[in-house]
Amino acid sequence: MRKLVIALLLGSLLLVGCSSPSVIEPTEVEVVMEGNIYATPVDYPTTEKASVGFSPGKFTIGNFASGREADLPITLHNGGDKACTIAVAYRNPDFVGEGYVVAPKEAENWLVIPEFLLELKPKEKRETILTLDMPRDAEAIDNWEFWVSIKDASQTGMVQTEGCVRVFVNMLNE
Amino acid sequence: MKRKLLLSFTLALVLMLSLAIPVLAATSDEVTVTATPSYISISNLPATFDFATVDESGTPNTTTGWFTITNDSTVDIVVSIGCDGWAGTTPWTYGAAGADTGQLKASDNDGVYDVTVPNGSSAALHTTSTPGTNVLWELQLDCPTTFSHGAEQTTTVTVSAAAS
Repeated sequence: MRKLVIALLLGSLLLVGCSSPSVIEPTEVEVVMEGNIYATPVDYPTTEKASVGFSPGKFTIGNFASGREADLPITLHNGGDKACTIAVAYRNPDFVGEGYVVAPKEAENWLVIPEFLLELKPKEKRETILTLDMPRDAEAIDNWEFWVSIKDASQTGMVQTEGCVRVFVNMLNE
Repeated sequence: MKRKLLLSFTLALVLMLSLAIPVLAATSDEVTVTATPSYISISNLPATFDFATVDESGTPNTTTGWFTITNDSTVDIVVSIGCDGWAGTTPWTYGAAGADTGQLKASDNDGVYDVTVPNGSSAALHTTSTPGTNVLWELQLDCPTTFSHGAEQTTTVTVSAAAS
């Protein structure tokens, strides 16, 4: 009986070393693709296009909360015959999906963009991974949406184009 | 002696379970990221339009369908439009026509000019463009009612695409 008690105590000590139940740390997140249309996170039209593009167009983050972070891998594509500079920036949405509100003002500070300007060679595809890192003392009650602006910064004309990644953030209900 | 052993065993069991249960429950709260397969890409031509010399209270415009947005996206998109206000040596104020105040309006290939192009934000220009369907659109300038100067005015118009 004494040996059993000692064994249980040792087992408890091992579990203490393996976990920190008072803090739920974000785990390594694998980006999952909806549906089975394309096998990889990057899908491109079968015909080569001459413009600047990116994939995917939407992300949905689940179980998000203060103190957590989520990686958003975006693949940029320069389909033109000349090098270009692509600007990546946080953007407020022009509209939101049903059940979502516009992101809190502070959310712009929660998005970590590793490179705001990326130079791509002709026909080059490159991945950039943004991270949404919500501080522990931040608050967001409703599910919210923000956008990421992807723009060819080489444009000089009066009319310019921009693409936007939509990111839906679903907060963990505690 | 037996009572002490039983008490020790019970305490150890409670301690072990209190530590084990959160570990076993942690996986249901993990952050998930799901990406929707989609490629977004648009381009626009021509890249400019010169309204040239304008009159007070005038409403010069491009022809209907003057601009073409080529939609190379693989999913339905929504197209928005915005601008960054007026620039020049003596810029107008951006807004409804007034003294040295003017704005742009747009429409999607019907010549109605029912979309006021906002300054610093965006308004919906075309609600749904399916993959491979281009968007034709046009611009109109609501000139100031009075000019106090003749300085050239410029602006940058941005058309944006997002998955619908």
